[in-house]
Order: sequence, then structure tokens, then C-alpha cells
Amino acid sequence: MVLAVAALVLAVGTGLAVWLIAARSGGQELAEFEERSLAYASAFADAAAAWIAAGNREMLTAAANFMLLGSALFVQVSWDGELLADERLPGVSPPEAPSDTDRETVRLLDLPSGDKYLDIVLPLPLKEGPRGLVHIGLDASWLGAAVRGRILLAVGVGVGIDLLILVALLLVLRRLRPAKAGEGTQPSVELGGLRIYDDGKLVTLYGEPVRLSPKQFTLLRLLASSPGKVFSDREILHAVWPDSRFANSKDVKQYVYLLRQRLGRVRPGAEGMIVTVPGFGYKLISPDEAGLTER
Amino acid sequence: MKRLMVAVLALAAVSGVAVHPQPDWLVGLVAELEAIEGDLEEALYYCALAVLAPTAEDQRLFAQRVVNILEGSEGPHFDPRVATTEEEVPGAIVRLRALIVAVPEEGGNPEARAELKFALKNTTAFLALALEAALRGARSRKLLPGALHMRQAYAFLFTALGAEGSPAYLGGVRSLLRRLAPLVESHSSPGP
Repeated sequence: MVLAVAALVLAVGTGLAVWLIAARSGGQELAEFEERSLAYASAFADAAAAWIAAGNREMLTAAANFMLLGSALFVQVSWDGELLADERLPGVSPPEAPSDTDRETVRLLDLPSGDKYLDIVLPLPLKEGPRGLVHIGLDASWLGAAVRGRILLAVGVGVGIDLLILVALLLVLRRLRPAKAGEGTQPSVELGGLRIYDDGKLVTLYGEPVRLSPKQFTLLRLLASSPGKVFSDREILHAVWPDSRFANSKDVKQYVYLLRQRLGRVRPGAEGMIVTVPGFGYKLISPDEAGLTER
Repeated sequence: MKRLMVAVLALAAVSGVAVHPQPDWLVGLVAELEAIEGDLEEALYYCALAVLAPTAEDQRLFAQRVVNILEGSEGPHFDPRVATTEEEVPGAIVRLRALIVAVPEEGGNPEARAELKFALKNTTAFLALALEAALRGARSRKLLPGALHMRQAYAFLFTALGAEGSPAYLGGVRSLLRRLAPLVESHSSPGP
């Protein structure tokens, strides 16, 4: 339940983070692109004005054409009502530039393909004489791809962090669970450092959980019901395998061996808590009697 | 930079300029410097566009154009894809180096020759630094680091181009032209 709530909270948190990243990076990316594009177009407009003033139309056309090698879709320069340069990629039809040549405009428009492009119109910075303007279209289709890339990265990082947090939480819970289970309830059996909780099917040895299978638990619980009493194979078979016709002394021997192993894993030497009484059976002695002490 | 002007005058006088109306090497030098000035102005324009480029792709394109102008078609980093002409074009650096060699080795004032060569070598050095920065800009995959390299390239190009009013002891094509062009005009114009 705790894990489910934690997972839900993390999932909602990740969703919010992704949404924020997507919204902010998309807007930021576009704002930076617009700012740089305007500066870029202004630099061209400055140079274009100088070339027009010097009568160097060849350079104007060459420079406009060269820009098409990059992200420019079209470059138009008009002056005194004449289109001095009109360079464009094949199949691109620039929209009509605004008639107001004194104001710069930057618009994000759609191409027929559905992709976006930035439409920039700038007045030529000519101090005197006829007016003119520069009209440039810059491909902005990469903006969508860039934002999608960032969202994917954010989702990946978010999910990765979520998984790490969940795994860490799971590990902590697993470590805490035995202590918590033991803390709030009274043990059904307490034999020195050995505690058995019937309700939680839990066994601890000096506070450390002992991982047992159901049959191993039943066996230990039987032996612990009368510490020091010797239980015969028949008694054990009757208690641990009540419905099985095929269980025999070999099974008892094997489960005693496994139980000793599990106890010994928690505390070396704890194997000695289960004593074999040759010819009669097995008995459980306290950890103190087995020579164990609390660390 | 009166000293350089005096040195060039002295050099021109001793190498026979006063006798012949057309001082070939000086006329050639000024013509070449004027052509280089045009190249550097173009390179400076592309450099500015590279600094302000809206995308990294544009930036690399303009940076490569600057490299092409500086190195020429014989350069190791020349990229014909961003060349405006298919003809072989000598790079600005190569042209300047040729000018250093073109200054007469003999005749005239040795100090004047040394000063002129020194100014030309300095201009070449600034162009070499601009080329290095432009190459870094052309290789940059990211826009902002690339813009930084191109700003450096711009600064070196700007210095190599120089201003008409600046002293010429560290070079600068325009400041050299301001001092050398009048000499050619005065010698080539018909006398009274």
C-alpha cells in the first residue's frame, strides 16, 4: 500500500516535471531562436544597405543566395519598389511582406508541409533616399524535434529517478519490516534472544529476522512450544506434515538441517540450538544454552 | 605612423620610383592590398553572421566560408561546398605572404623595407589567428561555444583589416593602404 502511494506520488511528480520542462524549454527555445534570428537578419540588413548604397548588387545577391545553404528558406530585398534580391529554395513561396516598411515583424508561420518557419521583415537601415526592406524566412521545423527530444530525455531521467527511489524505498522497507513487526506486538514465544511471532509468521534472533519457509516455521514453532522437550520424528511428522502419507524421517532430518542452516546464517553457532537426541528425536534449547550471547 | 610613411617614401625613392612614373612593385602591392581589403570585408561580414547565426548549422556554414576566404582553394581546410565560385581562389593569407616576398630585397632603405615587411607580417599573423578561431568555430557542434570562437575570429579579422586612422606598426590593411595609396597616385599622375 505504501509502495503504491509512493509510486503514484512519484508518477504524478514526474508528469508535472516533464510538463514543466516541455512548456519552459519549448518557449525558451523559441524565444532564443527568435532573438538570434532577428540579430542575424539585422546584420544582413545592415550589410544589404551598405551594398545598395555602394551599388554592389552582385554581392547582395551572392550573400542572399549563400544564406539558403543554411536555415534560410527565402531571402528577399526590396528597395525603392524594386525587388533587388529574391533568392528562395525550390518550392518555397514567400508570403507577401507587410506594406509597413518602418516596423520590424517576427512571426512563426506554417509551411504547407505543416512545419514551422520564422518570417522576419526588417526595414533597411538607410538614412536617406528611398525606403526598402529585408524579408527572410528561417526554417524552424527543428524546434519541434528539439522539444520532443527534451521531453523524451526528461521522461527517461524522471522514470529512471523514480525507479531508483522506489527500489531504495523497497530496500529500506524490507529492512525495517521485521523490526517494525516485532516492535508493536508481543512475541508468541520468547526464548532468550529467539522470538517467534505467530501472527506475522515472523522469527527473530537477537532482533535479526530469520527467513523461514512455512514448514520450517511450523517445525521451529513446534520445537519452541516446549523448549528442552524432545520431539520424536512421529510427533514432528504429525505436526508439520499432517496430511501427507509420504513424509518420513528423511524429510524431518532434511528440514531440521535446513532450519539449522537458516538460524546459523543469522548468527553463526545458532545451529546448535536444535539438538539431536540420538534414538529419540530433536529438542530446542535457548540461545544462551547454545553458547550465544547478544552482541 | 609618420615613420612608416617616410620609410616607404624612402624605399620607393631609392628603388627608382622617382625616376619611373610606374613603381611596379608598389602599384602591385597597393592593388593587392585593395583586393585583400575586399576579401577581409567579406570575411568580416560572414564572421558577424556566424556570431549571430540562429542555428549551429548556419554557424558552421559561415565559419567555413571565412576559412575558405582566408585559406583559398589551395588551403587544407577549403570546402568547395560553401564556395561561391568554382574557380581557384587564392586565400587572403597566401596573398599577404606573397606581398611580403614581393617587397624588393635590394635597393632603398633597409630599415624602410624591414618596417614594411614587419607590418605585413603582423597582418598575416592576425589573419592566421583569425583562421585558427574560425576553424574552431567551423568544428563546433554547439551554438554558444561556436559563437565565442567566431567572436575571436571577428576580433582578429577586425585588427587585420585595421582602421584608416590607426597606426600601422602592427599592420592593418586599411592603415597600410591609407599610407601607400597616395604614393602610387602621386607617382602615376601626370606631372605639370
